[in-house]
Amino acid sequence: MQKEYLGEFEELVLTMVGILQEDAYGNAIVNEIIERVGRKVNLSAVHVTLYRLEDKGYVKSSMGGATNARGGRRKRIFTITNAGLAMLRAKKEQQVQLWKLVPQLKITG
Amino acid sequence: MNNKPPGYALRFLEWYCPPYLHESIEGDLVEQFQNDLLQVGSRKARLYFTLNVLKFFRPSILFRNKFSNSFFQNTMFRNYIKIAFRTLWRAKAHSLINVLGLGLGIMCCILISLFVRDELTFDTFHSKANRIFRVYGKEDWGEKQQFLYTVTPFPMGPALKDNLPEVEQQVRIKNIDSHVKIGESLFNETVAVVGQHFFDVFDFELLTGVRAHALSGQSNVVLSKRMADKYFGTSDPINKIVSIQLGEQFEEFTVKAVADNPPTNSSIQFDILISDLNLSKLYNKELLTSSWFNIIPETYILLQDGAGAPAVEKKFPSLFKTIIGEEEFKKSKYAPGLQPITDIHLNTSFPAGIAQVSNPKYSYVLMAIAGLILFVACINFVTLSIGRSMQRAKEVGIRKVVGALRTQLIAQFIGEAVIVTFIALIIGVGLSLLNLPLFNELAGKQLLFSFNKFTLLLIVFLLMIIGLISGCYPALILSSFKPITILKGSAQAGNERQRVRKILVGVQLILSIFLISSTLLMREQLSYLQNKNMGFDKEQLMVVQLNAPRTGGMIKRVAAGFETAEKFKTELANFPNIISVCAASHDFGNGVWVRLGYTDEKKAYRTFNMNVVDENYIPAMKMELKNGRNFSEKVPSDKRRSVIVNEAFAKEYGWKDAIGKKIPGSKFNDHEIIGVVKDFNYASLYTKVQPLVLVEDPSIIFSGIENVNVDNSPIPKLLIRLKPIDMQASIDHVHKTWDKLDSEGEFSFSFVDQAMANQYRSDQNLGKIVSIAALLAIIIGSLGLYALASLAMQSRIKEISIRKVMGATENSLLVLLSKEYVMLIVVCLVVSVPVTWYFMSNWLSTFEYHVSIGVGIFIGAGAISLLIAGATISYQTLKTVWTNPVNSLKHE
Repeated sequence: MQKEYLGEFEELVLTMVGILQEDAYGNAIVNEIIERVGRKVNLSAVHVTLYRLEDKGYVKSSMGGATNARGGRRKRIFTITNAGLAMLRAKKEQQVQLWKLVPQLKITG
Repeated sequence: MNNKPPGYALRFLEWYCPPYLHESIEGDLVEQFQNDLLQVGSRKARLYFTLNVLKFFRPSILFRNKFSNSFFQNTMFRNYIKIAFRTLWRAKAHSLINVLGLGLGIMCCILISLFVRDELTFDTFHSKANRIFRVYGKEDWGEKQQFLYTVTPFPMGPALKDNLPEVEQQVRIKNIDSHVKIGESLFNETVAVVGQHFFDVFDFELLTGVRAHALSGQSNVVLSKRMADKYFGTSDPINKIVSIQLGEQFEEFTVKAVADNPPTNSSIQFDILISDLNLSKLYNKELLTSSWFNIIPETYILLQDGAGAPAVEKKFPSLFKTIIGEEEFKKSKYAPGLQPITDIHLNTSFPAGIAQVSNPKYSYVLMAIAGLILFVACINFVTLSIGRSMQRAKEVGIRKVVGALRTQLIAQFIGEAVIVTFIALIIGVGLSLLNLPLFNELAGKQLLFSFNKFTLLLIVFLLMIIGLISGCYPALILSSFKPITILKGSAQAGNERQRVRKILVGVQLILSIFLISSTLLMREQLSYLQNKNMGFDKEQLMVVQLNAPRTGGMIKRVAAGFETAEKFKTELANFPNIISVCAASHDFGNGVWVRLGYTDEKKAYRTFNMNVVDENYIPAMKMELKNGRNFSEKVPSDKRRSVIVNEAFAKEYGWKDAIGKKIPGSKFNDHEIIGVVKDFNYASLYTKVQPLVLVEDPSIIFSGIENVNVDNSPIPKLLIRLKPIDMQASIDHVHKTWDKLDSEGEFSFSFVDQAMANQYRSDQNLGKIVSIAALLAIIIGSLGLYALASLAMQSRIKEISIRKVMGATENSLLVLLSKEYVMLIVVCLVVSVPVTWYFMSNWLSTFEYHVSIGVGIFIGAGAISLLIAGATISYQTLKTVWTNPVNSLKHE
């Protein structure tokens, strides 16, 4: 079961990869997280997490285009795999299930 | 404004970052840098960039390297090995030459390392080695009259232990020649009388028996394993009875312990040990307790932990002043000192005591030889690799085009060298196992080869060193080829490389010539030693040691020996094959004659050697008298007061005519010099002939001397000159006579010429080792030359063919091809002359009498090397010259 464990930060990054689609590389993910969640994260942390996700098979990477801003260096584009998608879905369902068990109406006295 | 990310940070990132991640990480960082540049300005942006690079320096990134060294990428590594074996196999002859040459070199290294290790680790196996010292005595009489003694008076040990708190323990060791009786069998043995604490101080192992009690009793005896086996075979020796002759009687001893045979690298060797409680049966009480001027046993002391030898030595003068009295102390100039036990084996300034002292020069020479031979073999490897580089150039070109880095190529070629070395190593180890007995004989050792830490380290060391030395240069050369020139097919072996190759071959030749000329010179010197006129005739001269009763003083015993000799002389004189018989205290080739010292009338300290002889001595030895006359039976006073001296003696005192003079000391008995004998070499040819006195009665001399140094027993020997026919019959006859006159002792004999040759054994062995080294160097060197010539000829075959077509004669071609090799040899010969001169004159100077280094040696060595080199390359040259030009030119 070790392999299927997904940490909170890993889940966040994996979701961002899913969101960004063809444009998911290190810097873009960092910016996306700031924009959507308002959380300032470290570039190196994102990279390390991406590689770990790749090891687990939830994302795969390929070298993409270069831009002038990068001094001609290519980007490593990450795309979410089916396993990654399934993992995200399972996570979400699990959360929903758990959420359902929480009494929704709380009477404060 | 600096709009670029800092270079050092980029380089740092490149250095640690896994290559496959590098580009994207760097890209992301640069992108961020550009953003920062707009937002916070260049200075801060650069700072952030650096910080970010540092943030990436974390385990989860670093370990993505997987430390896959570019040298050993798995798939390529297998390819390298495959290619290495293919190339080795393709050039079988060259590989064989390399492997054999290196194997021989490695063999030399292994054997000589074993030897040197044995020499350097002498006596270090004692756990207290750093605290054990041998007490020595030094007498300083000024004017080059310094004497060192490794033996001490008997009271020395106990006095040191009782008076100096730093001395924890003392052990005296005295070897005596004695007889041992086991049941009915009688053996001649050396028995060591040692201190009771022998096993506390030294680490010799006991196989059976209790260490603390092994020598505690007066009648205890400890045997070495080999002695226990000799006496008792397989049965348990403990508590068996061994009878040992002490003085006149046999005493019974009980075996209490068996010690393992002392290690070969121990100065102290023993077979039979008894405790020093028995000394009183051998020496009188005065000698043992109060006689400070008779030096007999060696004394070893164990110092307390932390006590320094110099501090202890400082206390000696005051201690001895009180013990022997101020007056005596001053007069005797007696100054004892301490020598570390680990220093004994290789310190040649001390005389050999109970242990042999060996010259460390021997080790150095051997090490140098091993290094040279290995070097020659390595050079072979280098020259052949460079020579064959053209064949491998295409491979290098292709590899480079496909993307091989230079470091990878270097690693590949060094790796190949290591593979070759490894094969050579296996052969070398095999060869050394095979040749170890031979080497042991030459070096006079009992070395063993076992796979222990030392040999394994040595092997790994050799592998690395040889692999690197022989692999480095070819690797650099091969990897430097430019793919474009190689693949276009226009590559040529450059002049530069030719020159390096020639220099390397030259070095080999110089070494070979050096070794050849050294061999020749050593041979000349050794045969000179054998054949030099010694001043007496050493051929067919048989020596028989006589027995003298073990009673009375030395002078009495010598006299008794001469009485026995008279009986033998009359018995033996009648045998037709015996030319003459005489008796003397000392024979030849068995060490130093008795040395005596006295202070003459001018207060100068003088020393001379002495031999007690009979009137037959000088004619029987075929010595010549310079003037005066020999002892004569017709002059009865000769036995009482006549003395014959040698030329060196007369010279020392500046006498033109010594006849009728007296030795200028006041205390000598009445005497007169009646003759001067021409100098003869009674010691070895290492030393000059020293002043010598021949007497019939030693008491004339003994009365007037102050110092006696007896290294060898002066009990008379018979010297029998045999006719060179049917020697065995003569020996048998002497043996029969012996049985008739002396049934007690054991008959033993030797020949003077053999004994004298034995004196030079270590140098003879050195000579043999150098000639073997020369032979190996020649073999390895000519293998290399052969291979090199074959390569050189191959590359010139088209040139030769064209020359032939144009009408060159075979002779002119031969001259053309051999010219450069002959030139090379001549140059090397010239260079090697001063080298040889230096080392050989150094060696020759250890002999007082030696040959001079002549031109002949070098001409001989040059001729030999020319001949060998000529024979080596002629096959290749002739093959090239005789090829049909059609065959080599038709492809163009």
